Amino acid sequence: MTVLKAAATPVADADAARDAVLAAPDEATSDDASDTLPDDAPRADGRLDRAWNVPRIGASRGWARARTLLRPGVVVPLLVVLVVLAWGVVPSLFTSYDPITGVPADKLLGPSSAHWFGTDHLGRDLFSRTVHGTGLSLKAAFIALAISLVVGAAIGLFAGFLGGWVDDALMRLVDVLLAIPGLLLSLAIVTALGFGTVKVAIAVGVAGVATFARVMRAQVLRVRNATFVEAAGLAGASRLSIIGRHVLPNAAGPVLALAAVELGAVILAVSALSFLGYGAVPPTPEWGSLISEGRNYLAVAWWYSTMPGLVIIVFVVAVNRLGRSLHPAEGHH
Amino acid sequence: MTGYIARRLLQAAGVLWAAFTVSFLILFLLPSDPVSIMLDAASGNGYVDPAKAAELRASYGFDQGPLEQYLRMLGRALTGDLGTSISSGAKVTTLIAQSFPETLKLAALALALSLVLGAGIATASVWTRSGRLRQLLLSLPPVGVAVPTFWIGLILLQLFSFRFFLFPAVGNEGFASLVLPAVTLAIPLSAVVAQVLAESMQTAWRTQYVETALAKGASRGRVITRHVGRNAAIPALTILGVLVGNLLAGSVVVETVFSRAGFGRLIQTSVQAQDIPVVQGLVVVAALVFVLVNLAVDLAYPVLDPRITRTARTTT
Amino acid sequence: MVAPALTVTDLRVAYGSRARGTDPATDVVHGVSFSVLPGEVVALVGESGSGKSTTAHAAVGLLPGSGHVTGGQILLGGDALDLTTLPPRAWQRVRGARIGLVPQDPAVALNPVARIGDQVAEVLRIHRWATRSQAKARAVEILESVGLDNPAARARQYPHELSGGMRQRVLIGIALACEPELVIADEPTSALDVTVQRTVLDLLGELTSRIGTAVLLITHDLAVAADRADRVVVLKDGLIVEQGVTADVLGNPQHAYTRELLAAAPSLSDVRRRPVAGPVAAAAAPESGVLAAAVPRVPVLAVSGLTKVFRLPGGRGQDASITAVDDVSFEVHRGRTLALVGESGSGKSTTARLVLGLTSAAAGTVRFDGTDVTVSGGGRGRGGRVDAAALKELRRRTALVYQNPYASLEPRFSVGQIIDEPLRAHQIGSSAERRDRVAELIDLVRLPAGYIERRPEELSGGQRQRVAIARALALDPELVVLDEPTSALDVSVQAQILDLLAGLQDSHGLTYLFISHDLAVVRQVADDVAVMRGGRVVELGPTQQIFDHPVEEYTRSLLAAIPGSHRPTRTLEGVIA
Repeated sequence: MTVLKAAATPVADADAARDAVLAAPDEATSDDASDTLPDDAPRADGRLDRAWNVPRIGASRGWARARTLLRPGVVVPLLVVLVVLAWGVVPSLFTSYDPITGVPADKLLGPSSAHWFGTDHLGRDLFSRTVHGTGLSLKAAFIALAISLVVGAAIGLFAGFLGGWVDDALMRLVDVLLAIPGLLLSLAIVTALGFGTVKVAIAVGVAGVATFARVMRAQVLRVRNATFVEAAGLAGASRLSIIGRHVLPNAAGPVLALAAVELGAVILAVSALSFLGYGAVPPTPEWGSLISEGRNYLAVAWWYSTMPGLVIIVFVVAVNRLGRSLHPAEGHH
Repeated sequence: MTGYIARRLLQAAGVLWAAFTVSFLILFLLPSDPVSIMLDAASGNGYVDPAKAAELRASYGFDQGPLEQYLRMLGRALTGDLGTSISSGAKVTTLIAQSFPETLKLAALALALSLVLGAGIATASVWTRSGRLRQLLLSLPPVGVAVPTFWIGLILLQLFSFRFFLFPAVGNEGFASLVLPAVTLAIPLSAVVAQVLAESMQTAWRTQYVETALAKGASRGRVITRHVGRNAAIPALTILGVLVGNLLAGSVVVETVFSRAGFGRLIQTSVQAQDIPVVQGLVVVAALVFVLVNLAVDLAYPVLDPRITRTARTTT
Repeated sequence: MVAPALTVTDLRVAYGSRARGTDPATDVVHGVSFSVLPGEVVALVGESGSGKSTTAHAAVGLLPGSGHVTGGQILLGGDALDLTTLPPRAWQRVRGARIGLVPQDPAVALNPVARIGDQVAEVLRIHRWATRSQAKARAVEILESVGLDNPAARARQYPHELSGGMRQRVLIGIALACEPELVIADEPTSALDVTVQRTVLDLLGELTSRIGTAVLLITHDLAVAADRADRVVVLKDGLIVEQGVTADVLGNPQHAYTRELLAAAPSLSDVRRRPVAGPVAAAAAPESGVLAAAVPRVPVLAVSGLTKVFRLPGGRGQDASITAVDDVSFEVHRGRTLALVGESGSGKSTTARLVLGLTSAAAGTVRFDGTDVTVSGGGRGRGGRVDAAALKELRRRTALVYQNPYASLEPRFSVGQIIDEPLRAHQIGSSAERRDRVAELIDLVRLPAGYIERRPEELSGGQRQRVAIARALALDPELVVLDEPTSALDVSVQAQILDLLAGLQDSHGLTYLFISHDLAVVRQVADDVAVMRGGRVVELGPTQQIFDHPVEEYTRSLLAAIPGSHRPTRTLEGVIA
C-alpha cells in the first residue's frame, strides 16, 4: 500500500504542487489505516496536539480566532488593502490635485510635502494620478478575478463531482490552458479582442480559469472522498444535499483563499499588459501605464516610475499576506 | 521503457494539437473579421484595401466554413508551415527561428541565476538555527513575487545604466547587455523557486527519516545535503515547466524594457500590430517548449526517485 | 553498585516560547526521575499526553519544535555526562554512538531515496567506525545480524522494497551499529501487525542483551511492557505515578491509575464486556448445513461467496489486480456480535464495506434480513448495479461506526447537527421531534446535554466516538458495523467505549459486525469470530472455541503473538487475580 501511494504521489503537472498542498490526504479507512495510537507530542509541529488529549473549550476558541485575526501581521496588510480600496472608490477624498491637467511650470518635480510622489512631465501630481488610477486598475483586476473564479470553480465543481468522461474532458482542456504561459494566453486574447482595460481584464481572467478549475476540483475530490461525507451518504443524505451541505462549504474556504492570493497575481498581470500598452489610453491614469510613461524619464526623474511601482508592490504583498492568513496551507505561487 | 516514452510522446503531441486548436479558436474564430483587424492594424489608418482583403481571405480560407479553415491550417502546421506575417510578409517560422537564440541565452542565464538564488535562500532558511534569520529569509520570497517584472527592469536601468553607467541600457551586444535583463527576469523567478523549495525542504526536515539521521549523530549540514536536499528536490521539480513558461512570458516584458530583440519582443510587436499568424505561431511554440520541459521532467523522475516505476505512473 | 546507563532526575520539559512571557510555555513533563541500569530494559508506560515520548526525545536531544528542557538532569553512562547542557557538536558524538534510537513508524523513518545499505553505513561513517569500503561490508553484516535474508541484495534496495517489519529490523540495526550503551525504542512496534510485532521485539531483546545495551522502551501497551521490561515506569500527565520491578507493579499495583490501566488493557484482563450470547451454532457458515438448519430464524446478515477484486493502477494482465476479499461467507444473527479479525491487508474492512454496499462485489451475495442487497458489477469505482430502493432501505436499517472519529464527523457541524443528519435525510419527524430525539441520543451515549452545540474539534477522541455512535443509532438500526471503533483511542477510553457498546447491544438488541485487528479486544466483545487472512476466512466459530481450541496454524500464531502472554508465569497470574 505504501509503495502504491508513493508511486502515485509525484505528478508532473504544472500545478501539482499546489494541489498537493491544498488536498491534504484524508486518512484511509481501509485495512491499512494505521492502528497506531496518537503520540503525546507529534514531531510535526512541536505543539501539543490538544485535539487528541483535552477537549477545547468553546469560548476560548472564538477568542483564539479573534486573536489570530488581530495580529499585526494581519492588521497592517488589512489596513493597506482598505486604504487602497478607498482610493479606488473615492479618490478625491485623498488628493485635491487634478489627475488629468497639470501645471506645466511644476513639471518633473521630485517628491516633496506638496507632491508626495513628485510630478510628471506635464506637471501633474503623480500621487493624484496613482490614486485616481487605482479605480481602473482594481476594476480590471476584479473583473478578471470574477471570470477566473466563476468559470474556473464551475468547471472544477462539475469535473470533480460528476467524474468519469466529463472530468476527463474538462481536465484535458485545463491541461492545455496550463500549457500556454498565462501572459501569452492573455496576449493572444488581447490580439483577438483588441485593446482596452476591460478587454485586458477579460484576457487575464480567461488565463486564470485553469488554476481555479484545478484547485476547485481538488477540493471537491478531497471533500467528497472524506470519511464524513461517506458517513453522510450512509446516513441517507441525497447527492444534492451532500453537495450543498458538505462539499461546497468545505471546498469554498481554500478556493476563496486562493482568490485572495490570485488577486495579487491578477493585478500584476493587468499592470504588465497596461505597461506593454494594451490597456488604458492616455491621459487616463492606470498603474501599469503610469510606470510605462515614466520609462522615458528614467535618467532625469527616478520617482516617475518608482513611486507607482512601490504602490503596486505594497498592495500585492498585503493582498497575498491576507490571502495566506485566510488559509495557511495555501503556501506558494 | 520505450512503451512509456512512446506513450508520453503521444500525450505531448496531444497537448500540442490542443494548444494549436485553442489558439485557432481564440485568434481566428473569436474576432468577427480577423482579416480586417489584421489589415487595419497593419496599415494603421483604418483603411482596408478590398483587393488585399480578398486575397488574404482566400489564403486563409475565410471564404469557406470554419472547419475547412481549421483543417487547412492544421495541415499546413503539420508540415512545419505556420503561415506568414501580415506586417512583414516573412514566414512565421523564420521570424521565430531568428528571435529564439537571443531569448534562449537570456532565459538560460536567468534560470541559472534564479535556481542559485532561490535554492540558496531555501537552504539557508532550513540550515540556520536562528529563528530571526529564518523569518527574514522567508519574508523575502513573498515580496519577490509581488514586484512587477517591468518595474524591476526600470529600477535596474536607472541605477546601473543611468547612474553608474555599468551596463548598457538597450540592445543585444555582448554579455554585458545580457546581465540586467537576466537579473530582472531572475528576481521574481527566484522568489518562486525559494518559496516552493523552502516549503518542501521544511516538510522534509520534519520527517522521521531526518530524525533517524539526526539520531545517528549526523550534523545539520550532513542531514540537509544527504537527506533533505534530494527529497525536497523531487516535488520542486514539478514547477520547472511553470518556471520555463514564466521565463517566456517574462521575456515579453523584459525585452520590451531593455529594447532587446528576441522571442518576447516579437510577441510584443506582433500583438501591437495584431499580426494574428505570428501570435498563433508563438503560442504554439511556447506550448511546445512547455511540453518538452515537462517531458524531460517526467523522464527524470524515475532517476531521482526510486519509488517511481514507469508503469505505475499516472497520466498527467 | 554499577553506574546506571541513564539517570533522569527531576526532568521538566515544556513546549512553547522559551523567552518572553508572550506565549506562555506549556509544561508537559513536570519532574520525572528514574534510571536505567546497564543491560536493563525499562519501560515507560502511559497514555497520550502522559509525556512518555517527550521524556524519551529529551534523552536523545531531539525534542520537536519548540520543546525544551526547563529543569532537571539527564546523565548518561559511567562518566555521568549531563545531556541537558550538551552543545550541538557534542550531541553529534553522543547520538548514534552512545545512544541509539529505534523510531516509532518504520514506514517513514528511512530516507525513501537512499539505499538501505548506505543508510546503515552512514552511522558507521559518522562515528568513524569504518572507512567507506569497510562500512559497506559491515552494513551487510549488520543487515544479516538483524535477520534479513540475502543481506547483500537487501543493502542495494530502497526502503519501499522492504516490508514494515524488515524496515524496523534495519532501524534496529542502525541503532545498534555502534554498540551504544543505551537504546531508546519509541513505540517500536505500534505501527506493525501483531505477529510482526512479536518477532521484532524478540530481535531487539536478543541483540541488546548480547551487546549489553540498556533499553528504554516507550509504550502505550502495558502488555508489551509486561512481556519485555525488567522494570516499569508508569506515567500520567507528565508525572510518574508508579515505578518498580515489572512483576511487582503489574502484579500488585499500588496506584489507582495503574490498576485502572490494567483493568482497561484487554490482553491483560479476562473481563468480558458482556456475557456470551445464546446457542453456539448460530453463526456457522451456510455450507455446514446441519448447524445452519438448527437455527430457525433468518440471520440479520448472511454473506455468501463474497469476492472483491481491486485493479492496480497502471498494471496489466494477471499482476494488475488483487483479490482483496476472496469467497467470504458468514452469518450474523440477531443480537449477536460477529468479529472479523485479521492483520493489515486481510480484507476485513473491505468485507465490511461490501456488506454496506459502499463498494461493489465481483461475486457473491449479501443478504440483509433475507433480502438480497448485493451491490455488484461496475468494475470502475463507485456505482455498480443495485436496486436503489433496497439500498435505501439497507441504509436505514444499518449503520457504520468508523475507526477514526477525527475524520468521520463533519468539522463544520455541531454535535447536534451531526446526530440529526440521518433523521433529517430520512425525513423523520418534525424539527422539534428530531431535536428531542437528538437530546435522547446524546443522553444514551452518556454525553452531557450541553454538548449539542459543540463542534467536533472541541471534543476528545473518546467523546467524538460517542457522537459517532449516537449518529449510528439515530435510526434504530438492526445491524451496526463497527470498523475498528476503538483502535484510535487510548486504552482507558477504549474500555469505556467497549462498555458503552456492550450496554447498548443489550438494551437495544443490536447486532454487531465488529472489525478488529486486536484479538484481545475481540475476546471481550464477540460471540463469534471469523479470522481473516489474505482475503479469505481461515477459521470461523464461537469465540470460546477459537481462543481455546484454534484449529488453524495461523489462528494459533495470532493468539501466541498477543502481547502479555509472553511471560505468563511472572505477570499474568497476579493481574488476573
